[in-house]
Amino acid sequence: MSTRPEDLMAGYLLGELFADERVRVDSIHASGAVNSPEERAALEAVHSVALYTIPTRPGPRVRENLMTSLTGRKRLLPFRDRVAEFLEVDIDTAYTVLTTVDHRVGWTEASDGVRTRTVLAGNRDLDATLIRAAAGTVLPRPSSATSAELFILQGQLRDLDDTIAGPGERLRRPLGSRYRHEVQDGAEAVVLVLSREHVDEA
Amino acid sequence: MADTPVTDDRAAIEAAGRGDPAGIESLYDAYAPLLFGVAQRILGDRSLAEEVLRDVFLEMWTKASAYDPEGCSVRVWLLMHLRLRALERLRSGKVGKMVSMEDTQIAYVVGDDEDPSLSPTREQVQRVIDLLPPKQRNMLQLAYFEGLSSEKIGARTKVPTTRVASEIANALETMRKAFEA
Repeated sequence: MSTRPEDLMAGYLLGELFADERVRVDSIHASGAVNSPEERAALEAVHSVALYTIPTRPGPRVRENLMTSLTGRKRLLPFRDRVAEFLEVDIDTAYTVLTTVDHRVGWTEASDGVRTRTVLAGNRDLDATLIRAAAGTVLPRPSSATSAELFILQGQLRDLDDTIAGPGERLRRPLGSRYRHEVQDGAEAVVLVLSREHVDEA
Repeated sequence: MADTPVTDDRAAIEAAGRGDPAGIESLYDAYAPLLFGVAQRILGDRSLAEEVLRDVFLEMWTKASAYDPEGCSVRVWLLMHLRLRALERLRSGKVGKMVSMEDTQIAYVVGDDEDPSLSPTREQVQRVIDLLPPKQRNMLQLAYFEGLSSEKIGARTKVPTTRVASEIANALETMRKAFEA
């Protein structure tokens, strides 16, 4: 028997969900995606309760600090928790990786408009590389004996099938898969690439 | 990156998803009073509420590209994140908040800087919630703003624990139908 949307939302409000319901709510939380118009309506009803409050303006410094965090050299730091998870490193290491993005030295010109920088190496067969690529360029492909996972920090990438991925998205590229990442117009791309050698499997 | 003002939610979240701070700025200007009001209601502390508000918009900066335009509204998506983060902070034990049942009762209020095209409107929501049976209304608020379990809500409202979830679900159904009418 399927759960009535209102029952799912009551469980969400109470933090009392079965495993499959938890997956459902986590999915909504991740992207806002809903299964049906009824589910959307029930979710809207839940959060209409927020309107049963007095709207209050936060201090002006909150806005100033927020916008400062989203521009300039700090703009990528909000990603540090997710970068730490991506690289399986601690928060301090992720912070260090992200702050190297704007360093002027330490970059290698991979092709016209594309620069790379190794940020973690020597960990068995795993390497982490930062790529800065101008709009209109194509990201370099690792060797055929390498699988890769990308974490986009800035800009947008268009793949062979015209799907577009943006900041915060992780793209898995298994060994032997076909892909071509072209940087969309509008902004330089900053991408973290985790690549793994598969010498025995190649 | 474009830095022209972004005028609607969809465009704002898309701009943020492209890495344009103007998208977040636009969402902040539209929703900060609502979100901050909720955070203050949950946490009872202005400074903590401001921290949570900022953290939620920073989180949006990292997640905006994942937003599904066919899904829930941007306002609801923001509220989902805000409520989760505020309740996490509340449960971290760093907030010494005491809430009485009286604190959950609110008079009619209408934001003077809110978009009147929002649906449902604040006035509509308050009217519908005020028409709910008092115990359902209290249960709904204790769950939403305090994140209490059905056991604790049952104890506070003197309703059997096993009935709390179904009472809340019934309240939500009443509200949904009222908004659709």
